[in-house]
Amino acid sequence: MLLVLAAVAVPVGLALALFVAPVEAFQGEPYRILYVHVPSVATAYLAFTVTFAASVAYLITRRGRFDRLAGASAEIGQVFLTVVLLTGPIWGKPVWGVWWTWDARLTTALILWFIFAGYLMLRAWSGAQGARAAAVVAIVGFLDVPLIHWSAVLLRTLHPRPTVFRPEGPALPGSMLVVLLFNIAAFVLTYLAFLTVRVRQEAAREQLSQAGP
Amino acid sequence: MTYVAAAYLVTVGILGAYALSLWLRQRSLRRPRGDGR
Repeated sequence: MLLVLAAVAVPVGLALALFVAPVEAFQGEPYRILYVHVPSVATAYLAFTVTFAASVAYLITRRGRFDRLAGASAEIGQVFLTVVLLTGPIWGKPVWGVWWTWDARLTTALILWFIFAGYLMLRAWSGAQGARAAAVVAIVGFLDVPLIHWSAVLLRTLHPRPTVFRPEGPALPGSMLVVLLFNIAAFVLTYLAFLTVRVRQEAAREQLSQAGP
Repeated sequence: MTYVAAAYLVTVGILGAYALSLWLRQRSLRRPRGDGR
């Protein structure tokens, strides 16, 4: 059900972003990348937050379902973070004139990608014995998430400051904000659909491996 | 508009590829297992 909803919501959201949202006066058409870039960032943050919480819960309770949830959420978070790291440069080129710059926000986001790439490799290669080590890596790695968010606020960066998730409230006009919020909801729905399937798959795989050949 | 099209294609491509990988994994889990011989 969630998968069907996501499969409908994402194309609708993208169509709204392309054909309904108004053009931005300063950037022109390239600003429409906002509608895939920001929802991907928000979803990746959510996914890594779930991984962090599930890892803490696993270390306290040692229940396998928290470990499975942490692994599944990190895998999907990494998918959305990859979208962020690819759509960012595609937006940067027409607006900044460069594909990439070693600015604090971009660099900390790339570091997060490498941390969770390492985390997923650790999970894949160490099996059940590595669950505790993976949980520790996830908790330490998650500390980079607030660093990414605040790097554009506290440091001088080429990347703009947050326009939606800021204490004073969103800085976007209503017609743009509605479309952006719709896309954030569609991406979060996609994350939840993927997460449900992935967690079930891991539980089934563990049952099969416990049942033996 | 080329940049916008590229960004949207990258997004849909990555999410679609991941959805496909989930479907393939699901299919391999459902496949009946042999008797080991």
